[in-house]
Amino acid sequence: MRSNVGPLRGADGNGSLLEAVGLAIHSRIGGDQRTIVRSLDLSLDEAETVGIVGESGSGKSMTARALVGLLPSGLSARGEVRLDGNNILDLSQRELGRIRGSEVALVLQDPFTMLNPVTRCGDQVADGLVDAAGRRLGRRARREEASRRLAEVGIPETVDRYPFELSGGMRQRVAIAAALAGDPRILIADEPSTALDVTTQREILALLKSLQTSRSMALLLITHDLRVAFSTCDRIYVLYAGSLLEVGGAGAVEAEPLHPYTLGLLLSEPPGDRRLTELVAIPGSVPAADDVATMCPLAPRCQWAQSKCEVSHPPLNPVADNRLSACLRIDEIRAEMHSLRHNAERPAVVHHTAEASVPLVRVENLEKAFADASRRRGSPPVIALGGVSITVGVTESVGLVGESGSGKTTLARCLVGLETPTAGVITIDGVDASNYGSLSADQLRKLRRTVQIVFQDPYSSLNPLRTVGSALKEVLELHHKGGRNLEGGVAELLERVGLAASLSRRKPVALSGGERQRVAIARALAVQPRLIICDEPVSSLDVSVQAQILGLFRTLRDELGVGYLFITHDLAVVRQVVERVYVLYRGEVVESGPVETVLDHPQHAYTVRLVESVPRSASQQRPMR
Amino acid sequence: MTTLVGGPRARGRRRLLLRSTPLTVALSFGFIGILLFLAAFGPLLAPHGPGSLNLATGLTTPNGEFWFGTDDLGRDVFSRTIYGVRYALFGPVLIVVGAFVIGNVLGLAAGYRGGMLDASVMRWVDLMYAVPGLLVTIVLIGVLGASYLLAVVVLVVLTSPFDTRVIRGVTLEQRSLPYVEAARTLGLPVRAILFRHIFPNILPISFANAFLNFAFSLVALSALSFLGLGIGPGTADWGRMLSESRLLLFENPAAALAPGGMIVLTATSMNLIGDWLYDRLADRGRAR
Amino acid sequence: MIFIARRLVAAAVLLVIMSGAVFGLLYASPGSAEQVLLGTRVANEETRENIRQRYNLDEPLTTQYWLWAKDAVRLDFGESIRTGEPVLNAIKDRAQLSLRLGAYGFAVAFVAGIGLGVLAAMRNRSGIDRAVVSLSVVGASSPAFVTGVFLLYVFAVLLGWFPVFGQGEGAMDQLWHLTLPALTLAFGAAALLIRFTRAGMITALDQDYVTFARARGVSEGRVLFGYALRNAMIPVVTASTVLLAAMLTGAVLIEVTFALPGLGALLVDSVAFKDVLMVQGLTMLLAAVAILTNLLTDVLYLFADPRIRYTRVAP
Repeated sequence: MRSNVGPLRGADGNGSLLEAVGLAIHSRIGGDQRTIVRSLDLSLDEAETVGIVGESGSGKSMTARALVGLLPSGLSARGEVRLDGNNILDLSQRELGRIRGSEVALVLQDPFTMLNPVTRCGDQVADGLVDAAGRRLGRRARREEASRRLAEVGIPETVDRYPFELSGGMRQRVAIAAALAGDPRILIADEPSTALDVTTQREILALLKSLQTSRSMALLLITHDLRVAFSTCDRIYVLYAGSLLEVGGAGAVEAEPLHPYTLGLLLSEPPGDRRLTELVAIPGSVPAADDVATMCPLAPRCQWAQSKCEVSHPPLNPVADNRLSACLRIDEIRAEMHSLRHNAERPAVVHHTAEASVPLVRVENLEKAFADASRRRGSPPVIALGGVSITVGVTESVGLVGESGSGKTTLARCLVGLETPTAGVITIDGVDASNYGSLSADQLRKLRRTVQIVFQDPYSSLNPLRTVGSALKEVLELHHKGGRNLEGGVAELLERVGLAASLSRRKPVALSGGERQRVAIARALAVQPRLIICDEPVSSLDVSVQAQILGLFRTLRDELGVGYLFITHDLAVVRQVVERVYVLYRGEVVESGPVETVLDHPQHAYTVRLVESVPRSASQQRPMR
Repeated sequence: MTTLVGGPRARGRRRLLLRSTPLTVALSFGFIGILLFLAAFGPLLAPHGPGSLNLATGLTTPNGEFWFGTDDLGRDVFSRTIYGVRYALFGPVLIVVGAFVIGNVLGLAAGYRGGMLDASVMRWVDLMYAVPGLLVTIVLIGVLGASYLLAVVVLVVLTSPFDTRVIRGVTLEQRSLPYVEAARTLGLPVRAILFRHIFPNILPISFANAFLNFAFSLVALSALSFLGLGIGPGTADWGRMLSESRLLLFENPAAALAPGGMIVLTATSMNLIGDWLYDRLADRGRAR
Repeated sequence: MIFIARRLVAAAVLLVIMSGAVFGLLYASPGSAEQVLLGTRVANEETRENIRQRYNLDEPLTTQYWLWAKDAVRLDFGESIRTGEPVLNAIKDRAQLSLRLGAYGFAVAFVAGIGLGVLAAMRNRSGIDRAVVSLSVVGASSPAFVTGVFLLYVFAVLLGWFPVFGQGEGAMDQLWHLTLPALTLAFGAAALLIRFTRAGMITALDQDYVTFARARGVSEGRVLFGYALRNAMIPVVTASTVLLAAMLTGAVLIEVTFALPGLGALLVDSVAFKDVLMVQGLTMLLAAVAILTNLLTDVLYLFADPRIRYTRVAP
């Protein structure tokens, strides 16, 4: 049958199952041609797990699409993708149809949109089933086989269910079963776990890994998360702005990244097991491939960049055993990179001002129920919060951790009056804020100047029609802050969040995601609040930008003494910012306490599960010396 | 589904806009321009008066003096078609403006306030959607007595639900966006949120809708004229002209085809522009 | 099935409201009800008394409505003021023609509209797509009477393929005579169907579930019909009330344009002669048809979308 595991690197071409040579992807909008992927060489051996790691805009998803000949309209690929002696890029859709499913299949990111909403799960799995002669099976055989396939992914009972009846994790399992229906030799999975809750993420990755082993198929995993790649893959390709920057075995890359970008990405990803003294971030944001076509793509953001990095596009060169790197200076800076990493990973001591401080916000037995609009009238309301009590002290930073459906966002919205709680009491700085509708203008003004909020999505957080300056000025004017010199006030706010004052004339479209989030923070700061509620403020941002914003939150707290209620699903993130944490599960607080106590010695079963789901590489899973 | 409209790089965009405007849309704008010109200066250009009878000439086919020929009363079809432009623009513009105001006020209020107000407004909108509007107009005008003004008022009532639904939908969507929620949290007065933030973002949509409404209103008003229910007999209104000349198809087809063609061309231009505006907005990340 | 029950109740309530409005038409007309009902007949005391008796004009308004509604349920809307013929009989005489016109027009519109809509979506942004879209914009912009006149001019006057007016004798000939009117009706309706189908299909083809189906080798036929079209039809079903409204309006204009003695022509004639009782009967019929179609749409919707049918929630 199939050969055993091939050599670690299949670049010699003989053992490769799938091989891309000089794969380039361009988009054409109107008359403009843009580069998505510049030129990519990639190989995948039998029964091997390979990861393509990159941030948004790296071109990783389009690479996955190109490998199965399914680029969206307007995009085209050049180069070669060899599979069984064919070049995928030359095949007609009809020929591709025969290869897809039986040779290679692709699983997409979002389980909520990937399945046909009006067809039963069993039928969708069966759509990919064929008998030995390549014909569709009979009615009964289809159902039996579909059931068997769904059992393989652990959910045989869903055969007669519709996708909308299932949770995200179950839908992703159905999708995997459907993708494997034609018994492909290669499975490409594009961010298969990103849209899911942390605890489910781990299960899906484990499922993929076990299917890969039991079917001895090749798995190509596309992800933005280095930790996921390290824990799942044999080899890793690091893609940035359409160019490969580093290639190597997972363990080797983790032990010593040989490109500044990989190192930066690794350091930007905060560790789940300790708080760092300083968060190292890559400055700036991911450029478009065409903007860095004639230089090292990282040069504008790289601390080691020299003039030679900016004159030509560096090729991937062998730098060690089975290691490729596109860094021209890697030999010179290797030692420096090593010590940077060593220093950056030193844990910090958490200062506890916590419990002793005067409470600024006190929430007692807060309840919130929603009438479910998607269901029939008269059906029971959905309980978002079932009696939650928390306190946040003056200048204190408190984390609120939970998955989707835990009620964490509802709690935040109740605190600023965007929702009115069903029962319970909210007291903010002595004012009863349980019902914003019943407050006097003075009380409202006081609350507005005490608590502000920063939302998750930086793209819709700003009015697209108004400039940054006018958005900030509006707030300064309303609250009579900044005195007569509004322009000066705006400049000062922008400077606070690390932006140039000249940005005030721009509209949001001209800003990157990270810059928008900084503006949103500046707007909240304009009223000089004592507490900022941060609702997943970094989860829509690229990893390299995340660390910048987390760093900003830390700086602001040190300089202004502002406190945070930091809402997140990410334990590693919460650990970097807060002193105390509440764990929310299905609308109830299941555990609380100092952040390192809760995360290092979780008591409640749910917290234990949450802590265990943080992706760790092989080395981290071993006990620390 | 983030934003409606962007702003900077406006110059680059404007250049792109010119390049990407389809020929049909450019022609539509040109045609509307000509109509506006004719509405203003038509009487100076028309060779004959709209009602000047030429009984001696009687019915003629197109010729040097009467470009589109004459109808059975010897009136010049070409001149009447030019005079008809004013009627074709006047009524629909009134309806569009009326529906625009009602639709925006009700849509903004229902979308932003929600609750009972929203429920009752939407109940009304649903009802109006299910009603064959023109037939209701026919019945009402028939029973209450034919009058142009009444036709306009009834059509405003029948058109505004389209605006209301669209505006309410986008208001609801804008309202739940973080930038509006941030404005609320910052304590901005409702007035400022509605008119400084939300309204400018939904204005392009109501503008696109206005073109579609214009086409609908023109077709509806001409249909009423055609049935003898809108404008008085003998008026140089396209629907009326078509109705009075449709039996002349063998003798002088131009007498029926010219006003008919103008109705279709005008409505098509408006629909093309409206659709194009909608598509452009959708391209910026908005669903219809 | 609670869904259906609720819709039934809503439909009944709507019907009652509509009946009130229709009854009110009599009083909305200028002049007294008695004067209106008298029409052009000679006004002596005896006829006046007869009318007051026949239509219970001396009773209080609510009683009048009640008595009217009781008759209306039995489809008795009184006698035409113009001809003295019972309204129901007049409607029955004319209904067949209108039904044939509607069915013929709808069949053509359905096949052409869905077919062209799917074709345009599959060839999105191609020449075919642009041609189909242009056709649908022109169709949506052309009032039925203009389309009718143009078709008459081209096919009857210039080419002489079809008769200009009249209904024809015998089944085939009647179909022949109905072809131009039906095509006129279909032109406007197909324009709407093309629009809805194309938009729905383009949206569906762009969805992840279609990409994913292709990415695992599901056959192209199954992808197009089982995945894309199946989902694209949901918004089309929802839009069918708009389609009905357009077709009803179109039919009225077409019957006048082609001088066909159908219900639409009857409505226009009755309106012109202030035959309020006839108008009441026709309007009530129209309202009932609209409400029933709405109900039918809801049921269809239920079949098209399992998310509405089931209310089980994810565990």
